[in-house]
Amino acid sequence: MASKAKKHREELKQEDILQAVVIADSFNVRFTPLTQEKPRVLLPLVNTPLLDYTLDFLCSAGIDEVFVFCCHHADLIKSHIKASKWSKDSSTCQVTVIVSEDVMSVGDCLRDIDAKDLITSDFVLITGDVVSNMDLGAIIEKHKERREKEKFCIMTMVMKRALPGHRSRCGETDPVLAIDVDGGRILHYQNTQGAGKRLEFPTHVFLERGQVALHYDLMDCELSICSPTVAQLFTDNFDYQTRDDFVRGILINQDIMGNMIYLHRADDTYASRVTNLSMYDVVSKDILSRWTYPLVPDLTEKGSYSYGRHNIYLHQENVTLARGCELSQNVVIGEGSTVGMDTHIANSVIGRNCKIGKDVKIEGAYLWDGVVVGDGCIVARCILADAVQLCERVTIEAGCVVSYGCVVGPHRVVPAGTLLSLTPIWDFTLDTADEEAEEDDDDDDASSFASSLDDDDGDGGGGRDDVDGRDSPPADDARQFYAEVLDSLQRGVDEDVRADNLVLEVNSSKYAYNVTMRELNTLVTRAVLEMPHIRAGGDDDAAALTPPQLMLQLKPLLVKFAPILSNYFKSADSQLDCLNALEEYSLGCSSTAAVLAKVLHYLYNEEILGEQVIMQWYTKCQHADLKSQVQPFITWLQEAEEESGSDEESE
Amino acid sequence: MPASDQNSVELEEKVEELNNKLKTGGFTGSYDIANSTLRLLRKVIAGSKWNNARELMDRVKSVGKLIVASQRSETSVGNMVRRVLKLIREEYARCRGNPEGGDVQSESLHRMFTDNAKTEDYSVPILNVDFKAVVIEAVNEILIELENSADNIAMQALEHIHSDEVIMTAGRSRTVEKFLKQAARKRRFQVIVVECAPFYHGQELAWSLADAQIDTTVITDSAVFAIMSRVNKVIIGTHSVMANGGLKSINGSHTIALAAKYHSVPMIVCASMFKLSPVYLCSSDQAAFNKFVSPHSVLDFADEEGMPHLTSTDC
Repeated sequence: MASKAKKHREELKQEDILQAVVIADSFNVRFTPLTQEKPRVLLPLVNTPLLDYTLDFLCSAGIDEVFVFCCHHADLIKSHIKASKWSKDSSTCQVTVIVSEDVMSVGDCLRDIDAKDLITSDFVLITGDVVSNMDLGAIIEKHKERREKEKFCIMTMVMKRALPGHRSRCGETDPVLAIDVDGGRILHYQNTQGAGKRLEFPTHVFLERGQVALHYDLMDCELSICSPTVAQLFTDNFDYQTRDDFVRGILINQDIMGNMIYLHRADDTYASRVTNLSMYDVVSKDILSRWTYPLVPDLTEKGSYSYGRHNIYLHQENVTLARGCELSQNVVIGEGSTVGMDTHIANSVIGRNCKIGKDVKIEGAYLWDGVVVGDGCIVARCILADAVQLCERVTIEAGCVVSYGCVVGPHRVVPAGTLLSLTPIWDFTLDTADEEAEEDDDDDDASSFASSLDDDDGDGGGGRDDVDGRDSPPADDARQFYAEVLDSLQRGVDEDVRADNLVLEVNSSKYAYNVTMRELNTLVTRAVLEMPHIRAGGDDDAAALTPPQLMLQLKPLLVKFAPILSNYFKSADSQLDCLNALEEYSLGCSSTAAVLAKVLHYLYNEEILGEQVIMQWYTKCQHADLKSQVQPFITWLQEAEEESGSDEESE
Repeated sequence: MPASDQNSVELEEKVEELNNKLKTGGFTGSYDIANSTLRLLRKVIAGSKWNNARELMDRVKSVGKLIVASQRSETSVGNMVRRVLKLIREEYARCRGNPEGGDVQSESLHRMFTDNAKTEDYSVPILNVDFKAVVIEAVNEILIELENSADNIAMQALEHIHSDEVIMTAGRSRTVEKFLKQAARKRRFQVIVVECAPFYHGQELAWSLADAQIDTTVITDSAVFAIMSRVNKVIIGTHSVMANGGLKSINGSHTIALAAKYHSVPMIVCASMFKLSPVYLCSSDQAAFNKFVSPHSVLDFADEEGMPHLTSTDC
């Protein structure tokens, strides 16, 4: 009962089937809060899900088998593919969905695929949000020819010429490449984002080559043709997480392992990846200006959009445009939508079944399905997700993202860069803070993760939850380290352990808990100061010990631990740490503050703390009462300096 | 029945394939499109289940609508579908015979007025002959006519082209190429080819004609008016012929026609039957009028200044 296509496929098993791996999860959260309910690959780009563009591109290139790898919201992707045309028997392309809940990166996906042994020949590695109209078949042919001649060519990266500053160059990946001119082999690849104004190239790139070209005018199309060895290499190297890691690893080892990566320039065709919100904007505009022909609205959906001048795409069913409304340029109006009187729309995409009221100005906005815009609204560059409702006279400024189902009350101004959502927005700034800071993007929604709360008339706005993952482990570690140090010091006193051994114990604790030197300095100082209190009255506050009593207890401890302290406080920085710790502790404990001067005096005498550092700390110290307490010591110190200075001169 | 399921799946596949090829621009000319469409319709007629002419016509119509929607600017698809529908009606009428016993002249205006009581709905199944075979036979005839169309036109070449004439042509039309090569076997003449930016098909035609020992000159689009005074005839091909006799043709044809009119140079258009279309396009805003492709052949994507419509990048 096999149809011709299936028979065809079985015959092809012996020869090379063209395969593709689509990674349908981006492992980052650029599209929060929109991706809290739908996976990124199902977000609509000009009213068609992103995944459809990628699959269309692959199928029209003649790929026979596509593996879609999903992690987040995998069930939605599965049902989408089942309902699509690729699951029909008549489809020439077989799409298989692979779900894996615990993959965390592209590398993990490839390791999984390698483990499942699904790849039989050269495959296309692509993410689920790529829009392209390239002739992949020809590129794959070239790759295969190159592999015939050169066994070690394991990957062909596809790039396109776009000058620096071009809007399609995503700010996050700004590659600079060194290419061998004859053959197109990549010798060096570096992501320049955040690298500053100087770039370093290893010399082996230039040695023994005919001609090397350095390129900064290429934009990464984020699709590559890989040989089956690539999956194995990912399995061998567990720390390859992203494709960039892999490329760098291969290039560093290319003299040793001999694997080579080649470059294919696709200057005449279009390929771009929707990596973040500003790229969403850019790729939408490219589709509307037909750079992605034939992936354009009037051809992707069985001719349902009509194409008119100035890139106006109107769906042919049930679109109502009232009198006086103006669609200036680059506008898509989806099925069943109505536009009210005297409304201006420009550079925008309106989804299905939207209702736009009268006198509305929409400029550069992306409205998804079912959006209701009241009369008199002004909507600037933003995304309004499904079922958003704007009551009358609402102004939404540039860079906003309004998530599913939000209702924004009448006469409201939503300030620029706001994210609005009905469900709490997980704040991932702790993880992505570095990358956000380095993106030199225009103040776009992607970089402004500040979710301000707006009291909406309709429903409540979103909340902000801090995912505090980072802080707790180090804090626990520091506490445990501190407890261990205290323990060691106590034992040191009780059992009269030698100072060297105590130093060893403290060091091993440091390595065990991965504590930095600075923290160690601070905590050791604190430990020494806290010991008398603990030995005196358990956890009681220092009120129990009066300054004289404290000094009595502290002095012998200081004497005992002097070698330890001098071991750690050798450099000026560490001495400063010690002083800061003293200050901090004294602020909390008044009796310690009282004896601080004597402590400093002792430490100075033992040459654990130097004059310069003490003076430096004293001038920087901001607590007036503390300063007054140590004032006698400081004045003595200054006189002592002069004396010692004059002493030296006299000698 | 499993066989018919398999058939229908195969048919769907074929339709999908044709649609995709149309969308991605895999065809090189309207002849190829017409040919593929006709073969596909023949498969549909042979492969689908139908009991009478009405069902067959509905089936052909639905498939035709799907294909037409993939690429509205390709009128030859619609033309072929209409021809198949017409021949189904004709064959039906012929097989049923005429109950009045008159000559089967099918629909004439006179008959429409006199026989207004009888409306033909083509739903009576034909039992005496194998209707399917008859229809397929007729489709094969159209296919043969299609394949020979260019040759049939070329056979008239000698009547139109005389010795030592200067002929101007534009772009690369398969029909005109055959036309000129046929005439060149007996006559010596000179051909001026307009190259037609941005695809420059005229240059390919020039190479081909030169291989056939024809004296060829290539000129740019801007030189048309200047050269027109020295031209004896203009012979062009066309993409389709509209209902009002207008042409949807390669860009530059209008300029050539205006120049020819100014210099009173006769203009001949070589077009096969499958290009005649009942579509009436009067405005460039109509969907079937133009095919808009990617601007990459005109604008350089890498060049930022070529993107005029984007708002300033500091937003």
